[in-house]
Amino acid sequence: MKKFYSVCQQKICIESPFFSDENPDWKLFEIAPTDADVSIRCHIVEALPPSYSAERELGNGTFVSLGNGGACRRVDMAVHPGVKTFYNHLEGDSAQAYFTEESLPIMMDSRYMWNSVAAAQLLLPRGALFMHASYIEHEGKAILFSGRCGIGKSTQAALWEKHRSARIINGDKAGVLVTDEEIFACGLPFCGTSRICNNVTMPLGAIVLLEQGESNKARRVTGAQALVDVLNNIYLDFALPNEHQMCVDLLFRVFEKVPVFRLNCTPDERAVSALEEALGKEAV
Amino acid sequence: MSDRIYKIKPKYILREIAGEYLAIPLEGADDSATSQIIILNEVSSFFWEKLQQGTTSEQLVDDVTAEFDVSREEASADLQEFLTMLEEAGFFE
Repeated sequence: MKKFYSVCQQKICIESPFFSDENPDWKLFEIAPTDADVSIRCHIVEALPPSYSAERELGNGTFVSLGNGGACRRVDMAVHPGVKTFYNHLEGDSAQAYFTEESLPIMMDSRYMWNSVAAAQLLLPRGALFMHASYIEHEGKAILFSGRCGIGKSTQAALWEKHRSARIINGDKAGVLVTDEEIFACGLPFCGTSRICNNVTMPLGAIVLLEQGESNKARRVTGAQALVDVLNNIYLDFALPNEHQMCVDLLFRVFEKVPVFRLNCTPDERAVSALEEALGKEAV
Repeated sequence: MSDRIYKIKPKYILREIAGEYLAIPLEGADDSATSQIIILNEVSSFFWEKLQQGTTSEQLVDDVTAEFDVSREEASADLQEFLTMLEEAGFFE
């Protein structure tokens, strides 16, 4: 069975012998059958295919090996012992994902699936990045709060919702689409613990790198460390040659057009005020 | 100072951003230091470019003192620190 989705304005075809009905998030992104930009084919197999070559561990139970002009990844899910997947992505517009029969229904959970079919790798050459960030809409523009797990991304988003009537588009993840004309923030069909997941695309107004602190200070940053900190919150493992360079190229274009801030913050309205003032100075 | 030729092994591309430089690996990344993006300042990026070609520490001190307003003593100390860091992280052939 084939289903089609539009993610970061790219048309994705997923062909799978099984789709879960328990993914309302996916339905928001489903589109009518079309000529897809990229395609992902899911297979149920008794045994996962062999790796291409010597594997190296990337962390989080993911092992990568290179060969045949691409990368393949084997995933042992720590939160679901025994669930194993394998996917490969050859340089180009398609990927194959392999699941054992007992793994596929679990993997069809949106939290796992979109990270397990090379979607981020397929969309990278098309100018789209997946980012660890809570995504809010404020006065027609997107603000992305980014940073490591537990830093307070969803807390800052919730503060803006409460005190400035912002709308939370996605509590944990955001797409960033780089086009010649503009940089967009895009909703993604998956989220983390926030369970807030909407399909909204709008111009990206600012990226905010969060740091916890005892005071509230927002400052614009433009340097190399800020770019690397943004890059470290992108969903890519850079296993394939040139992926680092492609991602940095896109982030250079983002930095040209979109202000990036560091926000040292407390989990209360004072953080909102500090950022609001800094955004105002940059006319965001 | 020795006659040893220092040459950075992995392939990188340098990109400037706001007066700093990023050394971006051109090969697939793993957990090792040599496959991560490295942030360089103006002087260390100067060293880096020369080290990608391969050079001696003596020559590097000559080059950097010719290019920047820095004493040989200061340049040698900075260079030694940079070479040690690269050596320990496994950058050299």
